[in-house]
Amino acid sequence: MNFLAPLFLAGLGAVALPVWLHLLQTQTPERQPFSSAMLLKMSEQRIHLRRRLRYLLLMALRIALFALLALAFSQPLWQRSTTTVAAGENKEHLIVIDTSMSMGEGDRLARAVAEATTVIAGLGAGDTARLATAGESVDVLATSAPATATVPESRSQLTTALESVKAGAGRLDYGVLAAGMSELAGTGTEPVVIHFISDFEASGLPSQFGALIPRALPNRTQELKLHPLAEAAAPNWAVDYLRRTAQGIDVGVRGYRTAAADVTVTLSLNGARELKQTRQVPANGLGEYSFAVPDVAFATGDNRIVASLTSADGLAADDRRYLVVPNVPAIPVPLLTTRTDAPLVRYLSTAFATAARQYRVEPASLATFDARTLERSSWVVADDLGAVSPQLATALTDYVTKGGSLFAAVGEKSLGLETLPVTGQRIAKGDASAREGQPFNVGRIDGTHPLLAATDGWRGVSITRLLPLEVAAGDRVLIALEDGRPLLIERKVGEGRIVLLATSLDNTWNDLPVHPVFVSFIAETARYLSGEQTLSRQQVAGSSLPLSVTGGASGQVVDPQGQTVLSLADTRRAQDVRLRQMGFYQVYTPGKETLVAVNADARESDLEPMTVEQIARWQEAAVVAPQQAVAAAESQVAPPPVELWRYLLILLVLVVLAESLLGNRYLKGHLHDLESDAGRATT
Amino acid sequence: MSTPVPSRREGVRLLQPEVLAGLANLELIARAAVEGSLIGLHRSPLFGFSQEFAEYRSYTEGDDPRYIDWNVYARSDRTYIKRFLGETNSHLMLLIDSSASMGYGTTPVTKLRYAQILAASLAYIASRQHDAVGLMVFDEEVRSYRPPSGRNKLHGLLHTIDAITPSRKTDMEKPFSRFREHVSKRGLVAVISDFYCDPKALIEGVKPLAFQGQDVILFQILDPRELRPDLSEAAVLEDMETGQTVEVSPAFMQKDYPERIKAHIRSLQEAAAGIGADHVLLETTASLDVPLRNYLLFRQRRR
Repeated sequence: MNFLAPLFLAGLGAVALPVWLHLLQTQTPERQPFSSAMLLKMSEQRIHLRRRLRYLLLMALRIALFALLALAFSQPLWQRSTTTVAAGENKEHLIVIDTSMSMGEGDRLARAVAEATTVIAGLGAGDTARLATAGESVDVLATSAPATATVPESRSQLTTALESVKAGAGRLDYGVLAAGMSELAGTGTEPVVIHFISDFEASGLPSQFGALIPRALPNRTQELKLHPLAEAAAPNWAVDYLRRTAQGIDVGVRGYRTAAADVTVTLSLNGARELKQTRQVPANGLGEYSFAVPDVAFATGDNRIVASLTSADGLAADDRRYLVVPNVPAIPVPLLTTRTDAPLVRYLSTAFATAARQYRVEPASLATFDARTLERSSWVVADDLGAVSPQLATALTDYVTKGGSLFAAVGEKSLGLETLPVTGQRIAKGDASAREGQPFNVGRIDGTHPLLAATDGWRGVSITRLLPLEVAAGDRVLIALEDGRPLLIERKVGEGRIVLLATSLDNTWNDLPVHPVFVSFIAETARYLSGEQTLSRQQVAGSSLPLSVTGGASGQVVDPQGQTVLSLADTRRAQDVRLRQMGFYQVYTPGKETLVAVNADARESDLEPMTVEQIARWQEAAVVAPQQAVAAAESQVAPPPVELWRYLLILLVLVVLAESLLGNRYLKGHLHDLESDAGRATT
Repeated sequence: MSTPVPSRREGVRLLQPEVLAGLANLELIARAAVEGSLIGLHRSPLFGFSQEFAEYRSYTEGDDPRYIDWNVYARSDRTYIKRFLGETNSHLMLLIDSSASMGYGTTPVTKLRYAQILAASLAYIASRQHDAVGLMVFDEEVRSYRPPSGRNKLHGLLHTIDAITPSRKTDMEKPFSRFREHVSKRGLVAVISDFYCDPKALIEGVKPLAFQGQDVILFQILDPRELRPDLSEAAVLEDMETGQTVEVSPAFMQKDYPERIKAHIRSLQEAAAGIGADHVLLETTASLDVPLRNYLLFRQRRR
């Protein structure tokens, strides 16, 4: 018997409630001397015995009710006895070796390889086998050659592949692994036996035990055989975090099952400058180090920061941590305006300085702006699209069509036009001004759009004037007023996009610039229109990096060892790159070079293994029957466990009914007693 | 110095068991009970002493010549027989149940104490009537036996009655069997008990006495709470004789139990009537003049 959610068994404690109530109700009555029981015992004794039995039954039903409820929620599985083994039936063996970072500790991987060798040696003559590794992903390394009429199954490919197995840098989630096992099993009809050789780190357990059970396959039975590399949890030191602060760099060192010790941390800046600090880290605790690094110490561009410690533990992979600190001059963003000294310049500059330091406002007069400089910017801002000259409008349209982005607002110059330049949107007729004292308010916000997902506070913005734009096909209204008129519209034009605000960007038509939402809105707009909105310079080993978010659809990636990751053909098509190693990855996209730091998942540093009971429960539960039973097929494995919660619920309903009936009868008897007492009192 | 005679009302109050029980001496109690009971009654031939003159009647053949009044004969030359009251002198045997159940009481007077007062009063009356009074105290065995004796033994008898304490179970058969062995002369037998026994078994014990010519009167003494239980909540009642416990509900004690005790009393009465015995039900709160009058009426009827 196993439970998918054993924590609910704690609910069994609730059975104490009816027991307590019963004890409360049936406290021994006061004992009184009486002359003779001769006239009592023949009747009353029997009545009381019957009543007591009835109440005991009621209590038993209530206990059963609570117990069934707790059991049903804990989702018990009943493992039926093993069926008869069919002699001579072949099976497919899938040997999966855990290659997550924790397997690099000591000789774990060597022992895993030895265990796999033993499994391979014990395979049946007609069995087929495949060898796979499971780390950040599950990869099949080798498949044994199928047997022929004259040549038996060959295992040489497997043993050869075993030699190449090594520990990776990623993290293995056993729930993800279980979900992927079904896909690895192939398409045959013979039973599948999955051998999983691992250190079974407790941190790899999914939040729900049920996720450990592989999905059923059509017409196939799966059996999971766990091969734990049994050992006690080893002490381990790890660099827990590495981050940039206003004063410099902070480093955290965490000890797992370690005694208090002096630990020296070395901080390296671009491989040249090294700083060292030694502090005492408490037992099983966290040591925090602060390195004062002035801004001038950082080189222009991306800086490589490495924190490392010297420890005697068996796992060296987590003794280093990497960080990328960009130190690039702010990118100028052209602000096309009629007045370069307008208050809007101050508003935008402040917003950039607050939330998007990588950009700075570069005011440019519409009268003198050289459209040829547009190519130097990934996005531009126009404060009044109605003031754009036809020539510039054509240039902006070309710029957007080729992939550039435009953030535009409207102003006095837009009033009176029938269509807006660049976007070509029609301007509806009607009053654009709100009545005095009754400004327009925001009604609907598209919170699913990345531009608005992180911004809040639009409801408080008051708009006194709005350019009534007609929404064309392909326009996406991001914000609408209460009367339904669009306030913020996104339009895709060619490769680029335009975000259009149907009011002024300064505070002449609204009070948006003086609201806090203005800063976050401008910052999100900058990230969104520049195309860098999802790029993180810090990645976890095993994750995927889509090249598109680095600024281009294709490119090349150089791993920490200096090797190119993509083949020449791969560089021309958009794809994701799996970050398998720890260190710095250089990502080259057209016109851009990006540095990404990859670190191990901190959970892999905790080498605490699962308990023997947890492993046994997984082992017992992970026998999965085929989706469609094959008639007359006998399996060497145990039949699938039966989920008992449905039966428990049915039983629960019956118990509730019985309890209600019995409780009602008991209540009637009790009321009869009370009425008798009342009658006697009246008499 | 003469003893002041209490008024009728005071006499009734004095006959209340709780008042009598407050007196220390059982002889004093009996005397107070009897005197109180007889206050206000006119002198009657029913209640005289055996040496008191009753009447003259002509001598007829067959009369004992010893009773001829020779003085009258000398004056009138006629033979007359002088008759006295109380010439029906007899024995009174008091059989007192001293089982543990007799110790029950929810008033100041337990059933046993009431039985003691009643027995003492009966003994006192009997001795005033020059009846010989005997005593047998029993439970499941005969615990004490005093054969019928005259007035000069009254003090000792009352002392024996006063010393009775409740103990053990009730068994009517063995004491009655022993009683039949000791008493052969015709007389009165007053059995004082709560009679928590099978009525048939009781009658089987009493029947030989009736056949022997004894006049039997059964005084059944019960506590008011035995007749009308007052139970406000479920309770465990412990049998004072057997120690057996029975859990009872207020509903049962209010409704079923009174019917059962009434049925039990009724069967006792019927059984007693069947053998010519009298049955007198007494509550421990009942005034003693009732049983005493019953006794006297019973004695008169016997004559």
